[in-house]
Amino acid sequence: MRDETSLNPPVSIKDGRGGIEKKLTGIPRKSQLALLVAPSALWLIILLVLPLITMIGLSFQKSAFGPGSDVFTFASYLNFWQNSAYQGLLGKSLWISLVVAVMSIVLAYPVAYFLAFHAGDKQGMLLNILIIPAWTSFLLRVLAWRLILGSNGLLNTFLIWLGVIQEPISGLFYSVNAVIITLVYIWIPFAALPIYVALLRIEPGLLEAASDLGARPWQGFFKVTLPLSIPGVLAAFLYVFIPTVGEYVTPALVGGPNGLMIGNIIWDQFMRGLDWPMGATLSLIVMLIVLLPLMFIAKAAQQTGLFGGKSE
Amino acid sequence: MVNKNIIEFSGVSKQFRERSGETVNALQPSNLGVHEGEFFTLLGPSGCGKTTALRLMAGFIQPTAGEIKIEGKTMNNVPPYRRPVNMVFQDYALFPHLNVFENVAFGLKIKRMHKDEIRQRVYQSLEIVQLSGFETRRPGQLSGGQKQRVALARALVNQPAVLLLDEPLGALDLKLRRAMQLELKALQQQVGITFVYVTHDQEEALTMSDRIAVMSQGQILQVDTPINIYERPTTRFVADFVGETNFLNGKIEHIIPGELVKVMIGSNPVEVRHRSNGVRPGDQVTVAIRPEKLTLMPPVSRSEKLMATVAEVTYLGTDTRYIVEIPGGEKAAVRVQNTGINHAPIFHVGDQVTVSYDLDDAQILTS
Repeated sequence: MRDETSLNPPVSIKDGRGGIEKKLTGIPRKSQLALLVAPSALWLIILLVLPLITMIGLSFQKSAFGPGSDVFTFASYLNFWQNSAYQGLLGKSLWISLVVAVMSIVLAYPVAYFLAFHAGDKQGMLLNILIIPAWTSFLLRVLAWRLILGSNGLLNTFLIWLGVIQEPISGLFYSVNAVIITLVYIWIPFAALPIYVALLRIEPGLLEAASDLGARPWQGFFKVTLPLSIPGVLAAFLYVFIPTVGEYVTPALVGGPNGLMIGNIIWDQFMRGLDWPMGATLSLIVMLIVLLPLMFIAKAAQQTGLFGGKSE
Repeated sequence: MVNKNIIEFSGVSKQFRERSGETVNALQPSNLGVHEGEFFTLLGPSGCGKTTALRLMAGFIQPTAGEIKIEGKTMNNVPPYRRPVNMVFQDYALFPHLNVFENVAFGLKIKRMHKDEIRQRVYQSLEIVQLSGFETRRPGQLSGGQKQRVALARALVNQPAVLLLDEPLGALDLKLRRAMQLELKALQQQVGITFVYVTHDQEEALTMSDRIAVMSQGQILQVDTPINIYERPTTRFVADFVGETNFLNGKIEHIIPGELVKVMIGSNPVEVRHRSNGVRPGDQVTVAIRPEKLTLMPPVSRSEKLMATVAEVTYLGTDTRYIVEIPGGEKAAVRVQNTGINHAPIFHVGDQVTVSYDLDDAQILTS
């Protein structure tokens, strides 16, 4: 990268009376840029970088308080390595997140597609309808699913009334399924938006070109629309997958003992077990496991020119 | 030569409904025949309906009324993917996620052609548009002219009965556009496919076309060869849109059938070759004549000639442009080539001159 200012030499004019120069470029100087970035940079340092450093330190301590807090040890990492319960739970959390992300995308795609191509002048209104539920409290929306999925909940009552089942289905509530159903519901708008934006960016002329070259509508979809919306689909995947891996509220409220995720164990370590080093260790491991492959995906996507095709 | 129509419009019209509920006549009921193997151009200003006509041929829109035939078969309600035509889009519409080879192969792959044949045909058509070696480039890595060639190859590789081109050179700079005009014309003769070409550039239309349809406000005004469109425009719009024309308003004094028509422009008599377009003595008409068909001479005192006063002289290098004023207020532009001894403007502002022209070069327009 070359210096910003050398690329855009500021054009200046002197007014007749002498001395006063006016910058005409409208490009802020480096010092001005730094000033603009400073507040958010400070915010990130205090709330992201410092806590992260604290966590890394904590994970190598014997204990968070008392005499053990000065002892450097790999005990927590060793504990994770040897304890298959932790590994199993992490695996399950990743699996749940994958299922939730894929299901959210599969359900959100048609919504986004309809919004982008067939909503006409109702696009704005429908977009609001999609987003408005996200304005209500996250907790309320999770709790609402207790009323739907519970033994005496809406779904069971309705199915019994229909005569499809005689007794309430017990597997619905306090299960992995309940966690997945609830999270998919919550994430659909968030998955739909990036896909919608990606679809909007596709020039209508490209689909006409496909049709002109002999592609039926479904062939046009699979050969043009879908590939071009992949950046949106990947973004949707990241939006859903990353927060879901660390999710602990939803499993605590609707998951029951079988629906627990790694986030619940981390919460336990900090709030109940008071084993802060173990909690910090698990948090860091989750972070690494989630971030490394994602960084790899992003880089690969960039290299294949999937995001805008700027690569050489 | 027998001119078989490969595309035929019979009473085809297209109305669009605006958001406000208003209906817009994009194409008035029109009849049109595009001959097999010709380079046919739809020429007109933006909003004249030329692109609508092209999109009706491609099948992206359906006519409100009338019948469209391609190769003798009715195309109403036949979707674009079942029509024997291919289009070169104004903004190229290349698939950004596919490389040049994949873009060109798109149509052939849809037809489930054998891999080896696809390869052979793609390479062949890239060779025709002189883009061999660009197979693995992405559209984002190509210049405007190269994209244009890929779009052309992508359409031609399907060997369509008709190639539709929607202002394909519009985005290119002037120099490249001129080169591509000649190349396109040569290409059309080489592959022998019927081209239907849409443009608002009259020079482009005159250079490339076998026949031109001039359109305005959803109507096809005149369909003819470039020479006739330029030399024998039938309406004021065509005369004005294609090249520069002087319009002199006057009244018909008398007609010698088959010989000449005498029109009074103010107090000046102007003679025009009589062609049977239904004019009668006493009619108010417009005489159209191109600036380069007029010549200026020193004043000759003969009543039959058109006398004028030089009002403006502009030296343009290869020629000189005069504006002369005819008694009565009408003005006319005159273009004189600076050749031979007349290598510089020989008349000056205020000079009295005689304006002369060949009888056949003037036209009487009724509308």
